[in-house]
Amino acid sequence: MKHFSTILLVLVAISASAQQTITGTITDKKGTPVINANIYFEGSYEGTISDAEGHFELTTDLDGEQLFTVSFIGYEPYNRLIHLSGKDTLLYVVLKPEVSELNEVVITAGVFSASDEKKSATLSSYDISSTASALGDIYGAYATMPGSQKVGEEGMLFVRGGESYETKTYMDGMVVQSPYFSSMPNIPTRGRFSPLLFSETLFSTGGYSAEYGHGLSSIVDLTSNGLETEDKASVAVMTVGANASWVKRWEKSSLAVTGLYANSALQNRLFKQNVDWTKDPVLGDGMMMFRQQIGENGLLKSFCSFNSMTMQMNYDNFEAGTMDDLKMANLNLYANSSYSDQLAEKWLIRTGVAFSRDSEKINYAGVPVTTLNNGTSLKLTFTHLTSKKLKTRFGGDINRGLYSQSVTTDSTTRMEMSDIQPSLFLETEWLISKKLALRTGIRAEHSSLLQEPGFLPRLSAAYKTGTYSQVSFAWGKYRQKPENEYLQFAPALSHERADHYIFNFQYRKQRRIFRVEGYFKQYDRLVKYTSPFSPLASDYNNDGYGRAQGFDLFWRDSESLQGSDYWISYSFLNTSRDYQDYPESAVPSFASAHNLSVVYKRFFTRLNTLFGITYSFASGRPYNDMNTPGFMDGQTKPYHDISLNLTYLTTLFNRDCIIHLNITNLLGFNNVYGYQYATVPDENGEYPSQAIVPTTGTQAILMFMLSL
Amino acid sequence: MKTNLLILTIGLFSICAWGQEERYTTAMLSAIEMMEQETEPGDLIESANRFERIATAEKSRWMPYYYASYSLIVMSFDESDGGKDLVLDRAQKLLDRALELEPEESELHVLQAFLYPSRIMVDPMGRGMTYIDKMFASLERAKTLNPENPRIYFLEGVNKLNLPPSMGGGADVAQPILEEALTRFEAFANEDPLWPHWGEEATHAELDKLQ
Repeated sequence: MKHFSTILLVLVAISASAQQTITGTITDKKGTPVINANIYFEGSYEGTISDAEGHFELTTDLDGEQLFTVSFIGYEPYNRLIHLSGKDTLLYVVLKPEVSELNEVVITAGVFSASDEKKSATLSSYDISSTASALGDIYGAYATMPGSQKVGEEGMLFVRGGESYETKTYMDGMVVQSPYFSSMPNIPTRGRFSPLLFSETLFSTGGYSAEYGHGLSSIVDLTSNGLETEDKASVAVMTVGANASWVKRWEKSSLAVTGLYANSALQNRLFKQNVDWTKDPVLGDGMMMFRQQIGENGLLKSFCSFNSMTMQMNYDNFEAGTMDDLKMANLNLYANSSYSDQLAEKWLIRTGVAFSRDSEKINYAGVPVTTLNNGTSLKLTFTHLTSKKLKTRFGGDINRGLYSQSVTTDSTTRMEMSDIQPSLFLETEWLISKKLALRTGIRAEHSSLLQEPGFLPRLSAAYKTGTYSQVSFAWGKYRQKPENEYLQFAPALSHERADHYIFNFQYRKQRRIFRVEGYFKQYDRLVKYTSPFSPLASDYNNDGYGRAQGFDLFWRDSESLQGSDYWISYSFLNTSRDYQDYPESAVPSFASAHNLSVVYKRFFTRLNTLFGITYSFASGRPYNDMNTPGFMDGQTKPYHDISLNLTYLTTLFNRDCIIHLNITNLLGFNNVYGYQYATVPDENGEYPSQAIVPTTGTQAILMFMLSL
Repeated sequence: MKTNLLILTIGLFSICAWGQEERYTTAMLSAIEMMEQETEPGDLIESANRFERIATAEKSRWMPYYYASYSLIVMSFDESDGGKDLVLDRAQKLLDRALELEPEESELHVLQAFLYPSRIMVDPMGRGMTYIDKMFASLERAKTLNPENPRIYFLEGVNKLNLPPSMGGGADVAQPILEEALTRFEAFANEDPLWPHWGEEATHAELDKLQ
């Protein structure tokens, strides 16, 4: 009898674990409550539904790690692991519309977009942060997308035979002046913004809408998160630094604050560096993001970030046979506030203001060069939903830029210029029939510095060829102001120009996408100069030209393999250009004819581990071998990289904990990006050269994160 | 002692298994009862949600999926055109899962035939022909699997009734089929308390209308 009561006691103890209540609100992206949604823990019968305000309350006896699920017809189910420990939890759940079949034709030529279900969804912030070779960098992840070239020594996006400066980044509708951290020669940089800040990222490789200016080749458009969904706080320690973040949600507003300190000292000791660092790169970064819902549909977003980066090294001046001191300090402040609302039933408004200040101090062998870039942007757009079939958008922006550069040798030389660029655009999207859609747009631009008004027409059309497939076409004229480093000496230069022609076929069924895209791009009025850094205006002209043509293939399947997601992208590029100080038209050194990326991810439920691997390949890049008579006739060996990441989710002290390991260049391929040549031959009449190589071989980064 | 322990262990196991079965049956019966008491089709979402929750916990049983799908199909009759397709997409997904588990179950093919007419209502001109063919094909399949299933004859009768005589429909064709349905309903017996049993009352109602 005594035994029996013991057993009973044990059983009672097991079943009488702490009760816990989860309360919260379920809305769609616009903040409208989702009524009658199914709310439950997977595997248990009990659950509840949301009421007319989207509120719910779910009490459970379960404990430990449980999968909390919210589902509703027409929306993607929401899943998250909750650690039940008897502590009541408050959740704000935002359901995303289900990406169903391609019911309507949509304009897709040139565009890769995430979560904007009207376009072709490809990369979410989760996709970006779980891509092994990207190392949590937005641009690194887009480098695995078709149309981009691998240019390892820069770390920036190079799109379809275009230079890195031809890709412009927009954040909440406004162009970002310095989206990358400053860097030094042949040290790859990365984007300033964390992918986790954005709910939608769109990468267009050409043929983009009239709303976008400034970029000759490509656009990365980042839409920052709306209201945060819950209170949270976390700390992380990495082999490269530490990070802390704190998020608070109120009824109609939210605030997120993040601080990051990164220092490569440990990393640079652990992994052999091809760079002689005298001061390891150090980064301090602070970010604040505030959101306020105003009225029923209005949303105010304020973002502010500040970061400081320094590094110093002995630069191998192989020509002089010396190691020269080179150091860099970069300070950047960026603030962006935007407001969007529904004015009337058919009118939407979006407006914003952004401010940036970037100071870069580079000191080479005792010669300091200080570059300041200040920018202010104002933007206002209206959308009129004329009918289900017709939508009109129009608006304008003003960008004011202040640039100055001073170089101190025996005396200080200081260059300064300012530019005001107003622009207007008008665009209509017309669904002519269930199978045919047309988008026409025009953009008018001016620059107070270049004094050159421009009208840039854009056109795209799409035709539905089957339930799951469509073809589309895009054409447009684009222009971009020459880089400041040329304009400061030759302000009379005119805009560089490009025409895009794009044909696209897309097949998409549920979570499988296949795309093939052919393109032709014609460049004109590219900047040429007789010698680099010449201070004489007469040494610069707009006589350059070029072209790029090729095709991209893309396949992504998030469905067929259980728990797995993978994509394969291949790009073929045929390009040549005559620009800068080229003596003739040639394939530029950043262009490789074949680029391939294979990205694979799988979540192992039983191990609670996300595994990711990427393979990247690029065929050889041209370089100008000074010891042969031809121009740009050298070719590097092909580029290979295999990167890997493992993310293990667990709990520690009753709190969620993540351990993340990222290994780049797992097999230690000895990649060569190109060769630098001396300007004068040695005594044997040979020009000495030096290979441009990655800063390190195989490298691993370990991160440990704990949610508070 | 060893034997005692063994008996105790086996006993505990069977109690656990019995408890699990009992828990499932109780949950299903209460959900079915709730579904049958619902008067507004729009409220059936709550029943559908309950069945879906049971389905996620009982992934190897076809009935929770069946009832979740059934609730949504009935609910779809009252939805607007756009909403109808969304609800039916969901219903179809749930039914597909049940069919993966039990591809040879006559009732599941009947349910498939029950879903199609609601699809037709969204766009009768565009969808009529294809879905009518699909519906009769599903009923045929159900009949080969279990000719005694009365719901086959009920759906066949009702749908023939709504078809014009030129397309092989009409009251004269429908009446004997509905009468056969009635006979089959009276003869149909399944020991499982959770087994579908809808259709009998509706058959009576249709036949009354014909008289």
